[in-house]
Amino acid sequence: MKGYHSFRNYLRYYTVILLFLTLIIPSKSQNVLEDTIEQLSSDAVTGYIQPMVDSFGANINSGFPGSARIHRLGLTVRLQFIGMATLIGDAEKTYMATAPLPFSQQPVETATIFGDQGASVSHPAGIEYQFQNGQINTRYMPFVVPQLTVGDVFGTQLTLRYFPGSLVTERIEDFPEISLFGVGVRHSLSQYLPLFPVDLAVGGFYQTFSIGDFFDSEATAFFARVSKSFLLVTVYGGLQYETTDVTLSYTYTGPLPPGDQSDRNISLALQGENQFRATAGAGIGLGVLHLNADISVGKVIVASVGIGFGI
Amino acid sequence: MKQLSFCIVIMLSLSLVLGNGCDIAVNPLLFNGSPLTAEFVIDEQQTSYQGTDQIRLGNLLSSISETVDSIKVFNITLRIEPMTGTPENLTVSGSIDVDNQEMVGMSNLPISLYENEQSIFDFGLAQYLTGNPALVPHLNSLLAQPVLQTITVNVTGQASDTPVRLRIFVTLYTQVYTS
Repeated sequence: MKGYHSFRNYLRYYTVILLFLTLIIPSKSQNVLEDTIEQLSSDAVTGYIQPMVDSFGANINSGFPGSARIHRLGLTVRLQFIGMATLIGDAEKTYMATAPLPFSQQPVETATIFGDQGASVSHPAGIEYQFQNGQINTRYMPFVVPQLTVGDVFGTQLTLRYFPGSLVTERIEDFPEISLFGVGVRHSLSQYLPLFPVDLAVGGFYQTFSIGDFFDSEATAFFARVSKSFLLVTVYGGLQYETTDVTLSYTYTGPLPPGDQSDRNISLALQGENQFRATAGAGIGLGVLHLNADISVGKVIVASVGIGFGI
Repeated sequence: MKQLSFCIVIMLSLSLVLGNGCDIAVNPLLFNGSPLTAEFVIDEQQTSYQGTDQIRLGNLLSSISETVDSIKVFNITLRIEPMTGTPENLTVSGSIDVDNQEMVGMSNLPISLYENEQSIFDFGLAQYLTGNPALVPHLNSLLAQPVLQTITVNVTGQASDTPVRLRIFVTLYTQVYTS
């Protein structure tokens, strides 16, 4: 019972820390995002926020255990805190958009949510239209998750990611409920290839992440890993196929043409455009302390660092 | 407890490192003002017609709670809906005035061209409509005033046939720049 209360206290403290990054920033972003996109029709909002969806998808599909070394039978219990960051480059700051009639229907380059000021277009009749301004100025989009890995049974490890949303809403009024759940497995191929010079493993991961009623996502990843250990250091690499599906649900508060009775409740389905990546990284084990860092290159570039405790 | 403190330090360090340099709400938001529509119901057995309606400019801010920096017109539309009995090939000539400024002059305008809402700035219909280049600056100046006024919209004209049974809608679209 004492152990249970201690763990519960740990979760309580952990909630506060996790708030700063995984909750405060996405939730602050959520308020800005909601205010911004509620004014946009579903056609206009897609290009504007696609880079945010891409960076979120790249982040959440990062940070899986890097080493391919999994014993046929052994004991692994490791709690990690994984920080990820997707680089936001110039390509993520602009997109091509079309102004409403009567303005020219020639697409113009304007700001995404990561960009600067929106482009302005003029009409010979003396009217002007400005696209929405960018709202987030950052060189990278961060994310942090907790991760628990257990194993090894028949050369297989199980990895879990979990954050219960009610822990936040029970303590902070009007805070959106944020929840994370992820489960994945990795299976050693090296156990079937005893003399192979490197460790090989394959795996898959499934996650869900949501913020209130506004943001729902599902992410899947399938990967192959190769690694080699040298005393305390392990170097690893791999290839990964991944998908991210995001649903934004909001009420369109922008104008409708007179007499237009279109439903203002919008459910917008978006997909992350990052589908394939190559990963390279290294880790070091210092007793019960495990540190690792890797970088992945796909449609976007993602870096992750992990701090783990356990065996 | 020591392990817990250590975990807190780790998480806080990660959070501070990764969260550094991320600025949110760096530019003011733009909003679309609520569309403002003047509606005229014309029901005449003679060819001449006229109508008057009012637009409360303040209503364009009805769904906006942010601090307003400026408001600009980006479109004005016209829709003419024929009611039962109106001749199909009816044309109209006349004008629509906004706050005593001519908005458009119409010359033998087939009402069928405006059965669906269309912008008065659509130059494809220039043979039927003549605009007033002073209108938009005038409206923008009204929208720049600290207290938004109520303005009057008038339609007057002559139709090519009778009866003249029309609903005419003039709608003002604006962008609201917040600070």
